[in-house]
Amino acid sequence: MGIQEFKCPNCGGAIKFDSAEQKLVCPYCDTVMDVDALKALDDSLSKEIKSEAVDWGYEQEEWLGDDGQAMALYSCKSCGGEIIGDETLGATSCPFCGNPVLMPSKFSGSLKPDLVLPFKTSKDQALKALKDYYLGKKLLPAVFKDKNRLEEIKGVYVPFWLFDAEAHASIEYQGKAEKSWADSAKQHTETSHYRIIREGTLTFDKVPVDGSEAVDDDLMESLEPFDFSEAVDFQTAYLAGYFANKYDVSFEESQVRADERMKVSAEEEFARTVDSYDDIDVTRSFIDIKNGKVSYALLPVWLLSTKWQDQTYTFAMNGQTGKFVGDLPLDKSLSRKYFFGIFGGAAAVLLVISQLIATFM
Amino acid sequence: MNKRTMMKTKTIKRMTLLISLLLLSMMAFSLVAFGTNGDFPLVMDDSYLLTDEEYEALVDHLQAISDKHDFDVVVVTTASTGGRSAEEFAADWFEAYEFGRGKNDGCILLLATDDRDFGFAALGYGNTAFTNYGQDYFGNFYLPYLKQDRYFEAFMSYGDGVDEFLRMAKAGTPYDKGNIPGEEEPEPTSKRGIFGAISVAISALIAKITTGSWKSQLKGVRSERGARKYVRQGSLNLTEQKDVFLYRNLNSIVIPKKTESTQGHSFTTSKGSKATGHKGKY
Repeated sequence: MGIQEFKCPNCGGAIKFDSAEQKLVCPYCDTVMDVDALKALDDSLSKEIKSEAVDWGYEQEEWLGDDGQAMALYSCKSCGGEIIGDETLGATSCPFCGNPVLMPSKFSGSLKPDLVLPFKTSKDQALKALKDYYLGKKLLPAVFKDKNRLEEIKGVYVPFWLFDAEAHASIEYQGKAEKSWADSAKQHTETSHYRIIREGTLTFDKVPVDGSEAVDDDLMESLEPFDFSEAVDFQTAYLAGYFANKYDVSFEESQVRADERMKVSAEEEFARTVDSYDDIDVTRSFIDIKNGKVSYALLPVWLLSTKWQDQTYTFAMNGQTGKFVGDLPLDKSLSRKYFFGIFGGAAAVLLVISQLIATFM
Repeated sequence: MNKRTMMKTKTIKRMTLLISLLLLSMMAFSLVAFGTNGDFPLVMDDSYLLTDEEYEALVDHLQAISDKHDFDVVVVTTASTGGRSAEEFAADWFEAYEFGRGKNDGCILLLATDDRDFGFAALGYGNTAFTNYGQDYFGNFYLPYLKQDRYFEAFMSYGDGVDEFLRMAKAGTPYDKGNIPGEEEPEPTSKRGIFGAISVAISALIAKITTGSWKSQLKGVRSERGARKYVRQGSLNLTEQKDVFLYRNLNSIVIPKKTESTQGHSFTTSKGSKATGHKGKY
């Protein structure tokens, strides 16, 4: 299994995908190439690589890293440096010469993604978003805001499974409708009880579930939504300059989470059709997810990590929309200071006011 | 003389009053009790709420209190106030029948039975003895009985109440705010303490809510509950939609009646006298 670099047809330098231009750009001679125009070149290179597979394939015997994960050894075509990565690694940059390196075999044949959502945001935007994310957070430790603490920032195409499906629902509710009136002596409340039945279907398009063990599921869900109308057919060229991994969580495993989310939303949508009651309780709910279709996509995510007090904090930015998420540390002593400061200030003001009121009451 | 005879006598007297008060004053009556003008009894029961025996006992009771304090204590029952405010109607009645001793000292309790209205008015020294705040407590003497249509007990207790209020006023401590039995004015110190404790609790709550909201700003990673963002627009297709009525139940709760307040207010009678009083329903 070989690796691939997209070479500039003008100067031979390694070219990268530019998120602003949405084209491939040579950082050495500024040559700009359309992704579609490069497709033919991509195909020919793939064929060429297949013929060189004997020279550049990773070691045939499977070996395990410290964490038991299958590892693979790659060689950079530009400088000959050896790159060690996990078995799912599909795109990276050479640690010796910095050239973008692709492993097309990770995204070919049955492993080829159906779709890719190209990056629309740059590394600089991600860095700015991180700075902005710190703003206005009063209880964030001041030292944490120092950008020198940033350990790593990388653009990653995260493998996702996208589920299209129809939820077939059969739900029963117990509904209550209340009518109240009063006469001179009593307050009357008449409660009418109903059995409510709703059956039907609801269609979902491209519910994403991340297919990578290494990436935190909650972090990825926090980045939603993605706009899949901008998704394009997969081409290896989009990965140039970014990291990418093939999936290591199967769609069967991921489907559980997709079904769970679709069922919750189906219940909510059907409950909205029962709106003429003062109170409803679900008495029976059966939701079957049918007519499912799954597609494999690579979605753009900027991953940033910082280390503070021996703890790693990971942030993520949606590479398409720029939505930034992450958990920040709490400055406990500052929190206590603010608590007692606010408490003291409020107590001083309220005590003066209350004592004046008590005196003149 | 029994009650019926006395009522007839009263009617004649009122008619005669219109012709000549002078002639009326010359008539010799040996009625049980009259006001200081000697013409009209302290109890005028036009609605016939009292038996003869009750009437006589009440007149004796009120006469004794009136003489003790040199202060006319009057009870009137009539059909209607003619749409007027009950306490003002009572005050005018008091003056029309020339009740009042000394500087118009006296008080009157009037019942208008058609609409179950009552009005109380005090004139002269009554303005001092019956403070606006104290009248709320005064109502406790007769209002509970009136609400049960126990008129004799109500009027007798009213007399006791007047006696008590006059006694306290003469002692220089009229029933007023801070001097009402069972209504202890909280010590200023304890009031300050309570207010202080409430202020401290509110301050702690403000600090907790504020720092809590700042802490939540640091938490940005949350899993999604559902997949609403990925529902195809307009794709909800209801194949069955039934709402079946099962049963109905009715729950009725008695509305608690508001506590009747008989707190008084000052006003001027039709003849220009200063009076105080209150009114209400019984």
